[in-house]
Amino acid sequence: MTSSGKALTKDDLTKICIRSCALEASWNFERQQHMGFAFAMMPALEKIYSGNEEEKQKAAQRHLEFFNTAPPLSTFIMGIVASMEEENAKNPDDFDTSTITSIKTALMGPLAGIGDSMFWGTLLVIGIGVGASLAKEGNILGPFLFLLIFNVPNFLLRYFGVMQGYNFGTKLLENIESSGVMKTLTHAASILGLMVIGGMSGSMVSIKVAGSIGQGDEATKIQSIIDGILPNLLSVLCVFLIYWMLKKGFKTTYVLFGIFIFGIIAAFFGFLTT
Amino acid sequence: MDSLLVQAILLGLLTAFIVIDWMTGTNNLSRPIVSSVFVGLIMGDLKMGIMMGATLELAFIGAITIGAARPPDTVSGGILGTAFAIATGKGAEFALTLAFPIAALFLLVDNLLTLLVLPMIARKADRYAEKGELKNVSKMHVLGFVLVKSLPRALFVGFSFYLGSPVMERILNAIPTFVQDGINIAAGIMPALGFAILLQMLLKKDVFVYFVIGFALFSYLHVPILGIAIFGACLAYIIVNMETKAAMGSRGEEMVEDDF
Repeated sequence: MTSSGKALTKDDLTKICIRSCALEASWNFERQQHMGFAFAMMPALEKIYSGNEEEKQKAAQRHLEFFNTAPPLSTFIMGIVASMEEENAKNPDDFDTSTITSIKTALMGPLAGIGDSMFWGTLLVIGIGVGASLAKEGNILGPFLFLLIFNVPNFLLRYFGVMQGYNFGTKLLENIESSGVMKTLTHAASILGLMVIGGMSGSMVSIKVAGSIGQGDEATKIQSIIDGILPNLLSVLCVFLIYWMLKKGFKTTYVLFGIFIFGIIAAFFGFLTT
Repeated sequence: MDSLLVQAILLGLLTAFIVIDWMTGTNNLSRPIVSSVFVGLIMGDLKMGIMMGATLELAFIGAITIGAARPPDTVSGGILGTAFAIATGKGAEFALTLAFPIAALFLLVDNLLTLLVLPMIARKADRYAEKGELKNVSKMHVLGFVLVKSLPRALFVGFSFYLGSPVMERILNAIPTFVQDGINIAAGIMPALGFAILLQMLLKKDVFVYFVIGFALFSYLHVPILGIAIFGACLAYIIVNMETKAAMGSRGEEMVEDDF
C-alpha cells in the first residue's frame, strides 16, 4: 500500500463516459484513436495516481498506444482499464502493466466488429431509411429522427458500458487477487492480445504489388501469386520490418516520414498499387 | 459584401462547427442529411435544403469508415452538394457532379494532414506524457482536432464555394496521379507503425506463436477478428489450465488420481 491514490467513484466513471465522446476527434492512420482514448482516461488517471508521478507518467504513455474500436462500445474497454489501473496503483509489485495493454488490444478488435455492424451496418442504415423518406418531402422531422435512431442507443451504451466494464473488471481482479493467480491473468491476456494483433495486422495493414507476369490471356497478377503463397504476407512483413527498425533505435518520426516517402516513390515507379 | 462571399463565409463556419460531431460522440451530425438543414438556412431555402440532404445522403450511403479504408469526404461533399443544388437550381444530380471532384480533392488534403500533421501533434502528446503533464496531453488531442479536422475543412469549403467547382476540379487534375496514389499507399501501410509500437510492449519470445496463429486464422481461414478473439480466449483458458495443473502436479501427487 504505497499509493495515496483514491478509488474511482460513479462520477469519475461518468466523466470517462462524457470524455469518450471525443474519441475520434484526432483520428489518424498511425495510432488511430490513441489520443482520444488517453483524453477520456486522463482525469481518472490523475486521480488514481495522485501523488505517484512516475506511475502516472507510465500510465499516460501506455494509453497513447495504438487504439481503434467502435466508439459506442469504447467505454466498456475504458471501464475495465480503469479498474485495472486502480489495481496497479494498489498492488504495483504484483501487477504487470503489460496486462492492461493486452486486454485493451484483445477487446478493441472484437468490439470494433460488433459495434461497426450494429451501428454503421444497422442503425445508420435504418436511420437513413426512416430519415430520408421524411426529408425527401422537405420534412424537418427526417434529420431529427435520423439523429435520434442512431444516438439514443449510442449514448445509452456509452453510459452502461463504462459502468459494466468497471464492475466486471473490479470483480475479476478481486477474484484473481484473492486466489493469487495474477501471473496467470497476465499470461492469458497476452495470448489473447497477440492473437488479435496478429489478425489485425492482416486485416488493417494494406499493401499491394502492382503489375503482372506474362502477356495477354496468360498474364498473372504478381499480387495473386503472393496471395497464393501467403495472403497478407507483405502486411505482416511491414509490421515486422518496422518492429525491427524500432528495436534498432530508429525514431518513430523518421519511420513515419519514411513510409510516406516510400508510398510516393512506390506510386511513381508503379511497383505498388492502392 | 456580395451575397456569394457572405454565403461562402457562413458555409465555412458551418463546416468548422459541424465537425463537432467527432467531439460529441461520433453522433453523425456532420452527415449530409443533417448538415443540409443548416445549409438550407444559409442559402435561404430550408425546405429545398432538407430535400437535397435526403438525396445526397442516399448517394453517400455505404460511405463508412472501416479500418483504414476511407470514403470520399462526406462532410464537405454533403455541404457543398446541397449549397450548389440550391444555388444553381439544377437538381441533386448536377449538384453532385459539382461537389464530387471537390470532395475528392479535399479527401487528398485530409489524408495528407492526417498522415503527417496529426502524428506530429501526437508526438508532442507523447512528450507531455513522459513529463507527466496529463492536461497538456488532452490539449494536444483537441489541438489535433482543430488544426487538422476542423479548420482546413472549413477554409476549403468556403474557398471552394467562392471559387466554384471548375477551378477546384482544375486543381485536382493538376495533381499528378502518382502523388494521389502514393498518399493512399502510405495510408494503407501506416497502421503497421502503430502495430509495431504496440508489439514493442507485448511481444516476447514465448508468446510469439500466438501472433502467428492469429495472423494465419485471418489470412488463410478469413476468420473475423471476433472469431479470432473467441479462439484466443479458449486457447488462453486451455493453456493456463494446463500450466496450473502442471505446476500443481509437480508440487503434489493429488492430481494423478484425477487424471486416471
